[in-house]
Amino acid sequence: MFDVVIIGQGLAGLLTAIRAKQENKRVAVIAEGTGKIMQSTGFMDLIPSSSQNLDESKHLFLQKNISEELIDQSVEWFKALMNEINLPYEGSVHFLSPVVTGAGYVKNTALYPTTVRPIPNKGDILIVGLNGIIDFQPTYVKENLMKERPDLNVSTVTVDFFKGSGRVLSQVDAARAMDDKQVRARFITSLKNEMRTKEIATPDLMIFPSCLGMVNHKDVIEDLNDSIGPVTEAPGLPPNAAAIRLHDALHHYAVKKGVRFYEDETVFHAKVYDGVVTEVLTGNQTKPQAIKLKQLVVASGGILGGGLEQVSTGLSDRTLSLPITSEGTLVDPINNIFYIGSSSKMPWSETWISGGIYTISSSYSVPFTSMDEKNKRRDEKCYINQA
Amino acid sequence: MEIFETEVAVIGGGMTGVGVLRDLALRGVNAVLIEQFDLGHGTSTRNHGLLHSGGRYAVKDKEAAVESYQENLILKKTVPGSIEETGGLFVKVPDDPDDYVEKWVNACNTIGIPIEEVPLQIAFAEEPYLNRKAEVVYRIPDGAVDPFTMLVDVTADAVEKGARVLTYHEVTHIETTNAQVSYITVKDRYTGEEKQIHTKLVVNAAGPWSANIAKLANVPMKIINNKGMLTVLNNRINKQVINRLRMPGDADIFVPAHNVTIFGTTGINVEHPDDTSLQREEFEHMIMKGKDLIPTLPQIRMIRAFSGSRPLFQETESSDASGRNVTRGMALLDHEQRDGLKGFITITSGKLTTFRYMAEKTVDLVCEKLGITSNCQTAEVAVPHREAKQALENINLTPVAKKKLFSWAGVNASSIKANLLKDNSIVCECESVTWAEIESALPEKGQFNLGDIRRRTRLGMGPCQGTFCYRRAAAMAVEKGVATSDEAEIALQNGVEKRSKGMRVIATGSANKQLELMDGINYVSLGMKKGGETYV
Repeated sequence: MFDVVIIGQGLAGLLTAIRAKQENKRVAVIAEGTGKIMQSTGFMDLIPSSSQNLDESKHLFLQKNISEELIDQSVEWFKALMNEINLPYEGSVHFLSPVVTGAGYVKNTALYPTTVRPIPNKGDILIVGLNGIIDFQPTYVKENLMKERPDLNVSTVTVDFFKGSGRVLSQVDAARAMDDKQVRARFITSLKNEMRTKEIATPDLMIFPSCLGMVNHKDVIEDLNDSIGPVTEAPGLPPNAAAIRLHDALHHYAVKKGVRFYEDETVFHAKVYDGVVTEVLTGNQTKPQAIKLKQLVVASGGILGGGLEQVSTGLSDRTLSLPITSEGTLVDPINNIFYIGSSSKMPWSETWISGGIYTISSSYSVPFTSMDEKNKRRDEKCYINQA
Repeated sequence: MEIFETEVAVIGGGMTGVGVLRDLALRGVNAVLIEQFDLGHGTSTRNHGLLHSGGRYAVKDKEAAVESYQENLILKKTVPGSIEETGGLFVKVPDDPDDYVEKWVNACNTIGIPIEEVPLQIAFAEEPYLNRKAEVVYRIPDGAVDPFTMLVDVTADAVEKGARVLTYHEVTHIETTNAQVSYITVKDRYTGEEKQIHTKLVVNAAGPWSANIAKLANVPMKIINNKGMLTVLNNRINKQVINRLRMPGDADIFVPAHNVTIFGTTGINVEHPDDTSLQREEFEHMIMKGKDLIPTLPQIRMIRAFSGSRPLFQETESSDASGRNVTRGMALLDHEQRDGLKGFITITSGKLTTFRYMAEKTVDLVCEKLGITSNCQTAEVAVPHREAKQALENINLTPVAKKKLFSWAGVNASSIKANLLKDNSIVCECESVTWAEIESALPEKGQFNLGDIRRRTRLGMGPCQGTFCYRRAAAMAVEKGVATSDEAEIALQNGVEKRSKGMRVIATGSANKQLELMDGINYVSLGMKKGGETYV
């Protein structure tokens, strides 16, 4: 028996699991994959693909029963958590920060990891490409950045890192390599040489793809900072190290705190008695495993995450196979099931991506209450049914 | 304004137009081809890619069947690099009329199309997706043709032999003097510059747009634009072409194409040649029908849908207008005889399979008009093969991309090889497209256009539909100085919009998820602004 069972281990699922643990609940996470957090950028956007600030968008949040106070509290909680797990986040939902992406576009985001710095309006910028990382082309980033920040003085440099490997390398490949002190030292030497050859003076900020170390990112940033100057990551096409770091840190912390993970498992049935869910079945039809629970949190994502699926007849609930509306909400609400994150359609989202801030605050809105009274009544009823 | 002379001006850069251009070039006739967008903008890249053996038309349209079978044999010899000799099956399923089988067998025998009955167990072993309730199966020499490579290769060969090609040029005016065409005016879509082409003869091979061209010459002409929808399956589910053994109808052909299967089609008459709209209902109708041949079709993931119009010539208004009953044979119109206008010929209708024959007949007429005695050579002279194993054996590239280039690089092998030495990155992982191939496919001048690159390299044709590779190609183009960032941005806006259009209509299940990923990456992760500038 678990107090809280969560389906999905994306950002929503992991945060809920951690918070339930903080409230001393018995917590299990059931997940069939790794969560779309892995394909993200690590940014916590307020309204995805929009520059609206909270004043302009709080009415949208209210439509999903998220108040400004709740957002403030949840963000505070999230920042404290990220400090504790050594992956601090900065920024604010009230004043969005301009950040540069791997395509060189500037977008506004609410919270960002400390591997990222907001993009200034003025100053000397050096964009650093790594030969072999096809998803970050420094001149392209520069050209796009200059369109939005014409007063910046931008130069570019490309450092040989994976020369001639012959396969498509990602930011994450580079991040893992950067974790190694010697590789890092060689990289810094090459970068300095390139800068010298191109007569580039020490810039105010260096822009890298999201590849500045996976486990040892603090060392990577410190080393770059000490030997050349301040750096920022520009996350772009997935995979981004910033996203993997976030997932790994949250997952690791949840495991450490005693959250039980059922991974590579799919829930195929939820037992509902009298408007209350009592257990979910995983495994397979012939040999199911029943997981009893008091509260169920659905954090299996939207279309992209796989919690919902667009079928020819409309929207289908891939998680619990319950009847849902075209907005992804239950036709007959169940008292102890909570849908969070992208599991239902956001009033602002064409892409079904809810954004980090909604995910944080909707996860934070799940009440972990004592359900004993209700369970007692339900147990009696079950007994009668069986008799 | 640039003014120049040519003996023949060919309007339309589809398969028919480029076929005419090459035929003219091989006969030593000076010619220029004008295409309003890119080569194959119209029907020539919006079809099944089926090399007909004539079986489909054997009962109903003997003329088209005979032409198809003859050309099937000729194209296998003369355009070998674009044809896969897959063979084909004609399959009767329970609801198909029994008496059609006999009619069909007799018709094929009369025409001389070699057919052979296949025991059902063998057919099921060869094609595991085939409906187990199939009753009769015949083998027939159908094939799969890559219309993208065939277009490019036939054009390249024509250019190599002295022809000139103007893409992204729109014909704005046809000047006639004393009932004789004297010159045409064309306009560059990118720069707006006009050119005047003085010519003795205009060949109108504009497919669905040929009525518009005829109108410029004040010639009345009726073309039925019969739009067909097709979908691309995520995998190649069949080794050989699978046809339905009944009167031709909707959604009854599955053609293997490289590593996917193209399935279709429908037939709806549309007013405008530019109409390539896609309807969900049409798609669902197709899937329902297609289930008769491939019962698991609704569960098979799709990549996208597309549509193109068959230009069907209709001499009189009273003919049947449903589209399916108008001949698929060609229509060669001598407007001097028909309308009293000298120097104007229209070639339309016909099939992808019969393009060469259509070109031969057209150029025969052209030569007659111009008083040239020169025989057609296209039935014997082959376009260069795409095979390039020897030239590329020692290149440094991942095996899968290398293997693809062995049967793909063709005449571009040396330029691709040189480019690979500078950069051997793979830009599109679905289709194993290298930057080197993209660089070889870029035009010497003109706009950076992802669609043009796609048609020449298959960039963005795979399951991700350009989510990753379009961005990479655009970014690398800026990086290497072959495109400005503005050009790259326009190309991306346009490319993403076009790819999404084909995905949206089939967007259920995994295809829908893929579309969400594309939008999520572009507009959320990367922060791309929606609705930027698009092409001309």
